[in-house]
Order: sequence, then C-alpha cells, then structure tokens
Amino acid sequence: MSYLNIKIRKRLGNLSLAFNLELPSSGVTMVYGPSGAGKSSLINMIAGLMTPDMGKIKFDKTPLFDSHQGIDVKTHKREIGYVFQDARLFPHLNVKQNLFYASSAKDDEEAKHLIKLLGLNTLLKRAPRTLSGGEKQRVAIGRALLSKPKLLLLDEPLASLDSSKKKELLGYFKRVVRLLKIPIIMVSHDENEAMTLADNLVLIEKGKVVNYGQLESVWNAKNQQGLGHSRHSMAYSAIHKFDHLDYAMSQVEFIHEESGQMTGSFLWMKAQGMGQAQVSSETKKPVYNQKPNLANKFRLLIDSQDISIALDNTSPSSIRNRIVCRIVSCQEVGREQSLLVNLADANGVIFMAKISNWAWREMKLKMGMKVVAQIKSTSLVPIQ
Amino acid sequence: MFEFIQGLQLSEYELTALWLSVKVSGIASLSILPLAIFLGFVLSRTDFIGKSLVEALVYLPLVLPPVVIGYLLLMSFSSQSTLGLFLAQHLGIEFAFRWQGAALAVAVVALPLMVRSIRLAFDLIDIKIEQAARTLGASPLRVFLSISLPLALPGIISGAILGLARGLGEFGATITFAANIPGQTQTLPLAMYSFIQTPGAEYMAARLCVIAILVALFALLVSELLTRKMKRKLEGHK
Repeated sequence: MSYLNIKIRKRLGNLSLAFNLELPSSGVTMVYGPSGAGKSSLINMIAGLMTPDMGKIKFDKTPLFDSHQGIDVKTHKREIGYVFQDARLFPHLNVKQNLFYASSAKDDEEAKHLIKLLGLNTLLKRAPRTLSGGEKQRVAIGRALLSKPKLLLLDEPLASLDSSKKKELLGYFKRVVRLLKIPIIMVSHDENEAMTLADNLVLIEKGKVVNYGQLESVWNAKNQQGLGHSRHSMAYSAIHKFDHLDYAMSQVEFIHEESGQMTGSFLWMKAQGMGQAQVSSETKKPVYNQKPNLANKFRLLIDSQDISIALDNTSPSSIRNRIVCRIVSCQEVGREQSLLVNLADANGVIFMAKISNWAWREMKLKMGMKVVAQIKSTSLVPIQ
Repeated sequence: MFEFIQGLQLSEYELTALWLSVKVSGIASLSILPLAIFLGFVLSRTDFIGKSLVEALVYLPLVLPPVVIGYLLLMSFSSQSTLGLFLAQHLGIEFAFRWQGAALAVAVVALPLMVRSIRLAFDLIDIKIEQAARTLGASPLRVFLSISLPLALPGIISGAILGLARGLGEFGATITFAANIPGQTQTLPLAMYSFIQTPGAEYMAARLCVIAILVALFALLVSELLTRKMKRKLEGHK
C-alpha cells in the first residue's frame, strides 16, 4: 500500500534531520511545519537535489537512495516532478517551450486539456519575464506535470503570492489535483492550503517527523495537545444535507474520518448554496432532491474559540448549534490561563472548546460531566 | 582631395599585416573557444582537489611577461624539442616562424581572458534553473546544451571577442616564438614595431597605429552590440 518509504538522516549546520515516513500511493500529502523545520530539505532529498548522509528512500519498491548499497539515482532519472516556490521558468524559452521542455512531454490531447485547465492557452507565446507570479506558477505546474512524473513535489508553490492570487491559484490546484492519479507531496506552512488540498498530513518540527497520517486525525491530535501557535482548531469532514429555505441556513452532517461513514451528528451553518434538498416553509420538513452524496464531502475547520460550554440547554439561545456532550479530556494551553476542553457527543464526534480557567472553576466542570457545546453557525465556513 | 582619398587606401603591405592579424587572432580565438567554454564551466560548477592549481595555471599567462610565454613556447615547440619534433613528424604541424606559431602564441595569451569572462557568465546563471531542468528529466549534457550554454551566451560572445581583441594586439610572445617575418608572422603590432625601428618611417607607423585603434574599437563595439542583443533575447524580448 505504502508507496514512498523514507528513512533518512542528514546534518545541516546545527539542524540534524531524521525522517522516518511511509506515504500512501495516492492523494495529497501536506508536509506541514514552521519554517526552518526541514520541510524543503525533505522533498529535496526525495527529488535527489540533496543527498542524505545515510538511510534509504524507496519509491514504489524501487530504491532511489540507499547508503548501504551505494545507490543514489540521479535527479533526472527519478521521474519526480518538482514545482519550486520561485517557479524557476527558463528565461530564454517562451511559455510553450517551457511547458514542453521535458523530452517525455508530448503535445497530445491530454496536454491540451491540462493547458486549458491551467488557463495557459493565451499565454503560450509569452516570455516568462512578462508573466505575473501566479501565471508563472501555473506554467511551472503545467511543465512539471507534462513531464509525466510518477510523483509530484511542490515546495510552497503559493508562498510568494498575495492572498487574492493565492486563492485563485488554489482553485487551479484543486482542479488539477482532482485530475491526477499520481501521489503529490506538498510543503506548506499555510493552514488554509493544508485544509483545502491535503488528504494526509506530515507534521515536522526541528528536523523530525512529529506525526503523520490522515489529515483530520493528525491535525486534531496536534491541536488537542495544545501545541504550536495560539489558535487551536479541529478539522472535520462533512457533507451538506439540506438548506432551510426560510432562514438561508444549511444543515451539514459529520463524516467519520477513518470509515467515511455518516456519523449522525449535524450542525447548522450559513447556507452554502450546495442544496440538494430544501425545507418547505409549510411542512417545515426537509424535502430531498436527491440523497446526500458522500463524494461531495467537504472539510470544515472549527476554531476552539468559536465553541463555548453551557451547563444545560433549557433556556432559549440565539446559538443554533447546541450539542449535548460529555467532557472527555482537558489540556492547559501554555501560559494563557485557558483550557482546551474536549467534548464528545452521543455519536463520538469530538469538539474542542477553549475556555478560561476562571469559567472552568466557576462552572465546576469535571471530567465525564454532561454539558452543552454551543457553536455559532456564522462562525462556520467550509473550506473550498 | 583625390590625394587624400588615395591616402586613406591601405597599401599592400598594410593589408597583409592587417589580414594576417585578423587571421591569426580569429583562428586562435575560435579554436580555443571550446576549451575556454569547457574550462569556464568546470571552474564555475565543479569542485575538485587541485582546482586552485588548475585555475592558477589557466590564468598564469595573464600575469606572465609575454616574452616568458614566447620563450616557453619556443622551448616546447621548436623543431629541436621533443614535442615539436613529434608534431612535425607525425602530424605535419610546425609552429616556429609560421603563422601557426603566431596563432599558438595568441591562443595561450587570449585563453585566460576568455575563460575569465565565460566563467563569470556561468557563475551568474542561477543553479536553481539547472536543477529545475534536471527534475524534468534532462541529462547533465542536455541541461548544459539547452540551459547553461544559451544563458551564458552573452558572456561567451564577449569573452570570445575580448580574446580576439587581445590577440590582435599580441606582440611579445609572438615576436619571441614566431619571429617577425612579413607575410608569415608579421601581424599589425609587429609591422608597426618594424616601422618604428626604421628611421624615417614614422608616418607609416602612425598609419598602422590608427588602423590598430580602429580595429580594436570596431571589435569592442561589435562585442557590446552582440552582448546587448543576446541579453535582450534571453530575457524574452523579441
């Protein structure tokens, strides 16, 4: 099952890198971590642009590097595509010549489709110098893909762009990623990029792999420990069920991360216009146009600061999402005088609320206690 | 008026010297260009034991007195030396007192200038661009031919013309190694030297001086123009 086996060591100045990883044969794996953690070094070693001091890299059972057997396949023979942060287009060639630089690139139907998908049709005759940052990156992606790689590496391809361009390019990315059947490894330190594109997550800190696996579980485990930056969030897969006609709200149901099954727990959020069913204003009952389709799942990130805890839900509240839960665990956050409280609902979906130590004491909260998690529907935005 | 125009025309003697200068220097620069590109690339891209020594040897003719170079060439390639004898007997190449000798002297003197300029051109190419080409499956040779070489072209051209210009002015090594034989090894500077040595030929010397200046100026202008054009083309201007 696992395609890419990595077990390497490398010393880089003061930082000693030790990566031990097994990555799946499909989907997008995001290598995530603070800058200077060794993310780019990892993919440079996969591409053969940097040589590990010792260890092994095996791709689809073929060794790319093995210090014991003295194997070190040259970069140009690895068939690994690479999109660099700074595009690195060939300045003396035009866009079309850049795109078809690889000798394995052929101007066939597939290529035409990809060029169209990346919106490069009108740029073909242009010189790289005249392109904007986003356009350059699109050409770089097209160029890497047209070389028909067996694995695609991306090193923070969006980092050099401003946020509006980032969003635009992310859209192109999503379209291309859906089309590809090869595994993709993408380096990033952008939460939004990870949530939008990734299926799997590799957390790297100070040259070591902290955790890796399916995105939601790795992300949630990291955040439940209260590690890292001051914002802590939980990632969920969800599916849109129906819209409420009168109030422009949508009901979404959580999907179990590992099994992909519906969990039975749902939330109300602002209508997303993805309606497959609508609630009739007369009967107040949902009318489905079609059954919810599991393939249409999307990702939802809930910030722990957007969840509050109440002792009961007897009195009316403006908050639409009030979920009866039990407190399952609790973690102090640094020196913030606040707590990350993990709450499990009846279906086992875990919510994480950030509350102050003061509230915890005053409400006399305890492990195992039954409480109500309150989530404002307006704070929920699906990641697209 | 007519006399003035007639005065502008070059004499047979001047033409011979000019043509010989251009031929010697042109052939010498062209034939060492591949070596200069190779050395420039190797010095720019690789690191090996003894690199400093190789570098020093390549650049040595730049600082050596030309007469020393001429003397060393004479010792190495004269028909009395082993190497000279070998070349003459087996390949039919003789250097001493022939235009080939002048060309060899020019080659040795011009090489370091060309290597310097070409190496700088390779140094200025972002290695990351070459890395990108490698990830696209291009072999080292293809990367060199399709990326490094075209991107270094302005530097290579200006290096070649610099070498050519240096060759046109070569004097010390040539006169020591190949002697001063009209029609064979008497290039422009050597011819001028002869005139300076001859009493009453100041006018002739001055004419050659003007020709030398014009030729050098022309070479520099062409170099500048070509480099600028190349640069614009490489940067994607039409």
